[in-house]
Amino acid sequence: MNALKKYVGWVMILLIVSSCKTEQEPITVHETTPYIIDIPFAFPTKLNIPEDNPMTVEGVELGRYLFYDGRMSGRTHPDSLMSCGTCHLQKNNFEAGIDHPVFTDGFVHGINGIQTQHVMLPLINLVWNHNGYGWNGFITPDNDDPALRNIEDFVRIAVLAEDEIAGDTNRIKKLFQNLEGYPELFFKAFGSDKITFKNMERAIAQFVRTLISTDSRFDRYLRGETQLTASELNGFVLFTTEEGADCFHCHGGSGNPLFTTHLFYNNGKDTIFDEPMDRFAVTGDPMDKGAYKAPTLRNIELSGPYMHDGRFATLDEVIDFYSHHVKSSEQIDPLMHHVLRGGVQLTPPQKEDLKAFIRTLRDDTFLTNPDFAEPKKFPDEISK
Amino acid sequence: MVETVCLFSTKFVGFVYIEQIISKLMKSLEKILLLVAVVFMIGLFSCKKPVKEGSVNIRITHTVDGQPAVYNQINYINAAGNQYQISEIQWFITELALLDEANKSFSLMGTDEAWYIDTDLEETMQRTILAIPEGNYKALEFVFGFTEETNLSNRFVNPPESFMFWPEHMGGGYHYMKLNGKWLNPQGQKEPFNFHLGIGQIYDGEEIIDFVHNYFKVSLPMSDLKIIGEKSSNLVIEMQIENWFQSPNVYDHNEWGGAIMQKQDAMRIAIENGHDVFNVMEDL
Repeated sequence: MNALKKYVGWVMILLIVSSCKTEQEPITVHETTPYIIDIPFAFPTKLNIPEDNPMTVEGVELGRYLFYDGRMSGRTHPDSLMSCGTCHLQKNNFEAGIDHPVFTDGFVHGINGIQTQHVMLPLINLVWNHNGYGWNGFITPDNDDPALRNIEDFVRIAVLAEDEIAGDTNRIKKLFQNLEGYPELFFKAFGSDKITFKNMERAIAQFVRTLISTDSRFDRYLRGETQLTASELNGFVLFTTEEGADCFHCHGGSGNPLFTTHLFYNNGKDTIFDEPMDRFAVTGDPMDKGAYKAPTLRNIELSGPYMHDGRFATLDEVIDFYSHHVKSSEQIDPLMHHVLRGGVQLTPPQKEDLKAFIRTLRDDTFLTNPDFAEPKKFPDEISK
Repeated sequence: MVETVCLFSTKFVGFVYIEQIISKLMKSLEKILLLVAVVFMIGLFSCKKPVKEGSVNIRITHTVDGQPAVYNQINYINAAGNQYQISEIQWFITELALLDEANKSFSLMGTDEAWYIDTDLEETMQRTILAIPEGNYKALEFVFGFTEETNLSNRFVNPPESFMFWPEHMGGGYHYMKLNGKWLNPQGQKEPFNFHLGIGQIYDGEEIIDFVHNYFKVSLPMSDLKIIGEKSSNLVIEMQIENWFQSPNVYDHNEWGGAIMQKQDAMRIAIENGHDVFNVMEDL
């Protein structure tokens, strides 16, 4: 009898416990996939990725669509389409290039026909830039203005600027909200299918940060995978010696494979400095008058015209400038130690060797990478 | 009956056996406890007292003729009579250490560390070093630049240190220092100079046949730096810029020109002058 009571008691306990379970509704969890940047040997390990916009596969995918979608102008008429990719051509190092099909000699104008203040800078390896974006570095992580700190902000500026896309953010959001496929992509990337312009900035910035070039002929030479010619090697020596062309102090080399310091220099182009968007405009330091960013030389043969105002169309003109036409001023950077001779005084064969070396910085892997290319179809076209 | 007697006997013998085992265990346990007690007593009276530790804040200053350097103005005249200005200075300290009264060296940085100093980057101009044993120290020592063992290419992949790389075919590794500025040449023109120090080259014609590691060790005597436990001391390392150019060698920009990375003779002169460039003092 006692055993029976015990048995019944255990059964009742089990029944009570099992009846406490309730049916749970399935929870939809927004999950993203981290996008991992593979950092080659000798490249920096510190990346400029803001905490509020970590890189994800979903964000990069969306950003690529938006980068190339001409409806980022907020318009749908074929004559009124404009996107980042309209000007930033992959084949030209994500610059216009002097052979741009629309912009003669690479001088870009916006949708309203207004020419931009400066020529473009290439969108390449920007994830490693901590020293400010733009020719004068006005977009920088330590800017007091939180709206001018990173690539995300540059996206907004480009979309709104009268001399660029001249868009309206409300119109753009509304347009994309009604494009099939896009709300879903926004949900996948950011957990909400309500499209905000902030998330558009974030997505494009994520894509731009993936534009990484590390596989030029020179990179492969450093890895022991290929040889350089005698001319290219002599050009490399000229590039990295003070008694040669002395490019390396500003433009890097094997110890700084970015081929830029992302810093700002007065390199002796002028003696009068009245351009309002030089480095002085940011720092207020009179010694920064006429100073501009030293851009990367990676793929530089494709990304003319050169200097902040595009005054040089070809690499030959640039090399000639540094050889014979550097001008002295109070603001000339002290690294231009050859200024009083007019420049580094390269001979014609040396100029050819230097150019040959610079051309080894061309990275066809980057220039043709399908992951960076314009999508064949946009989200609203995929289902059709 | 027989079964009962057998069962009882078996149980009795079992109990006796178990009792014997327990007794032996107890005796062993007593021995173990006695041993532990002895070891504890020895340890209690022989343990050293914990060492007290303090810290030191070290600040870098750059001076000319005893005054803080003022940049980008032709303010100065060196021993050669060159009027000059300084634009920026970037340099490395490695193997920073304190020397105690018994001539024992206490390292203030790891062997894989380097202190990069940049007059354009305020945050590089000072360091706090913790966990320094209490005591009296009579000298601060460091290596200006890098020794052969530590001057390795691609050691730094992140800026700003990576920007100091020294080209491979010229010896590799890193600049020990970039001191940039301008001087008035005999024509009265401002001419830039790059007073850059690092690995020198020996040339036979245009061919490099050897390299020279131009680093040097600095030992700066102090009048009794006392590190007190849980307290912080403050020091200043001063670079007296004018001394790069004057003793025992008068360095003339007009002679050497604006660039010396490929001029070992110029770098040798500079390094010989380096013996009295640095000074250490208490930071008041």
